[in-house]
Formats: sequence, structure tokens, C-alpha cells
Amino acid sequence: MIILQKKSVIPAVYYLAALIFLFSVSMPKAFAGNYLGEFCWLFQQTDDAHGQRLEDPLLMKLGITHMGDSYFTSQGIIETPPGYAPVIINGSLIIIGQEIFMTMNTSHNPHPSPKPDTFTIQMRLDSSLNGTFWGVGLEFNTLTREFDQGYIAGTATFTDCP
Amino acid sequence: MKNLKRGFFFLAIVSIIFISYMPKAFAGNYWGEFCWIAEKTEGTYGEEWEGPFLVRLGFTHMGDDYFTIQGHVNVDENPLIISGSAIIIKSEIFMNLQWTSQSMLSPWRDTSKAQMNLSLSNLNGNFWAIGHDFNTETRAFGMSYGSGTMTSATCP
Repeated sequence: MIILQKKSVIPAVYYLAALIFLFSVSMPKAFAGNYLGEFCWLFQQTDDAHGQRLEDPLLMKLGITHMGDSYFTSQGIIETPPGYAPVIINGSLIIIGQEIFMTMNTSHNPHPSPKPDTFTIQMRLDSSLNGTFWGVGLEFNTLTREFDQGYIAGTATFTDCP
Repeated sequence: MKNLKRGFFFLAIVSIIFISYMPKAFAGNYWGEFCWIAEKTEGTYGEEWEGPFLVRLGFTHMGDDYFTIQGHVNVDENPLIISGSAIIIKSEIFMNLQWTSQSMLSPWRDTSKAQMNLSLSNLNGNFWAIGHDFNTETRAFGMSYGSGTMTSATCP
């Protein structure tokens, strides 16, 4: 009787261990929020609402998390010159065919300038992770109490994060 | 044999501890892709019909009644790219969405902020959106309003 119990315990342990191992291996698929890390681009504005406008490139850092299927979420900043607050970004990336599309929302309080602004931007990257962006936004002048509309467009060049 | 048995017990206990901590580490629980047929029935100046459009949204449950969303609508070769959040309040799902779209056929660059309001019982409902656009040829800005219906559909 004792021998029979020992024999039945060993396969049960095997079975339990195998089941739990398989379950734990399959867990990351169910709990998809998989942070991929920080990625950087040089954001160079080449166009504004009035036409061509070449600005110095700024570094954009995005923390990207894979949610599932072709969908990603991101948070990040665009670094600005010393003394100015960064542009704060949140948004979503989607892979469609051989391209990556991103819709991002930005807010920026460029103190000491009295014109905080918000933009909605689309970035479109090819398989080399380089591409273009454009965005439409609004700013408010806290001195004159007037709104102004804005447009930006330019290039996004994938680069190593410093 | 005794060592092997101990080894499997150890593996089982470690796996149980690992699994019990997993939901805290992997907060976003991706539920998959869901689809709707959207039809625009109202524009800035009144009644205006456009569509139907197939809306694909990937839902991730972040915790409690809160979700994060990514999605797209395919319009010619330039998809409308959606980013946003969803919240369940009582028997309804409210979504706060932002999207961008650029048509190959026109010089307009379109951005919109939208709310979708769906019944939890059948996932059907409606949407409204306010757009802020720029024409790259005339260098003029535009604003728009649209609203319509959302009907739950099987993703193709």
C-alpha cells in the first residue's frame, strides 16, 4: 500500500511541475504590457504654418511598451535648450505593413516665454525607424490672453539615446 | 529519485511564487482587438453622411475600470491612427480618443479629439469629435465637428 502511494505521488509532482511551468511560460502573452525600453530620435522641424522654417534638431526620447498584436503605448519628452522645460509626450504606436505610425499628444510650457502650447502630432517611420512628422496645435499667450494656432512638420531620425 | 522529487517540489514552489507576483509586475492585461462599424451622420453644418468605416481598437486593461487603447481606421493608404483611454462607468464604456490622419488625396493634415460612448450590454453606441486641421497648400487652419454611430462588429 505504501509503495503504491509513493508511485502515485511522483507522477503527480511531475504533472504539477510541468503544468505550472507551462502556465508561467504562457503568462507573458496574457499579461502583455511588455516595456521595450527607451528609444531616441532627432526631431528636426523644417516647416511651420507660414512655410519653410529650419530649426536645430531636438532629441526626442520615448519609452515604449508593447501592449499586444501591433499596438504599443509610449511616454516621453523632447529635450529643449538648457533653461527651458521639456515637451511632455504621451501617445500610441501602431505597426501597419512595413511602417510605424504614431499619434502623440504634447504639452509644453516654454517658460520664460508666455506661450504654453499643446499639439497633436503624427509620426510616420519606415523600417529603418526614420521618417517624418507633422502636427497641429494651439497655444495661449498668458500676457495678451490670446490664442494662436500652430502647425509643425519635419523629419525624425533614429539615433542612439545618450 | 529523492533528489529529483525535491527538485520538482522546489520548481513548483518557485513557479507558484513567480505566478503570484506576475499580475503586479505585468499590470497591462491585453484583451485583444475589437472592431466597430462607424458611420458619420452629422457634420459641422448639420446632417452629413460619411462611411461606413471599420474601426479597430486594441484594448489593454490597466486595472479597476480603466483601459488604454490603440487603434486605427484604414482610409485609402493613409490610416487614421488612434490613441486613448476607456473607462467603464455603471453600464457604459466612455472612451476619450485622439487621432491623426493625412490623406494622400488632399493637402489637409487632420487631428481630432473624440468621445465614444458605448453600452456595455451590446457594445453599440455613438461618437462625437472636434477636429483641428491644417491645409499645407493654402496654409490655412480649419476646425470641424462630427458625430455618428458605432456598431460592434467582428474583426475581419
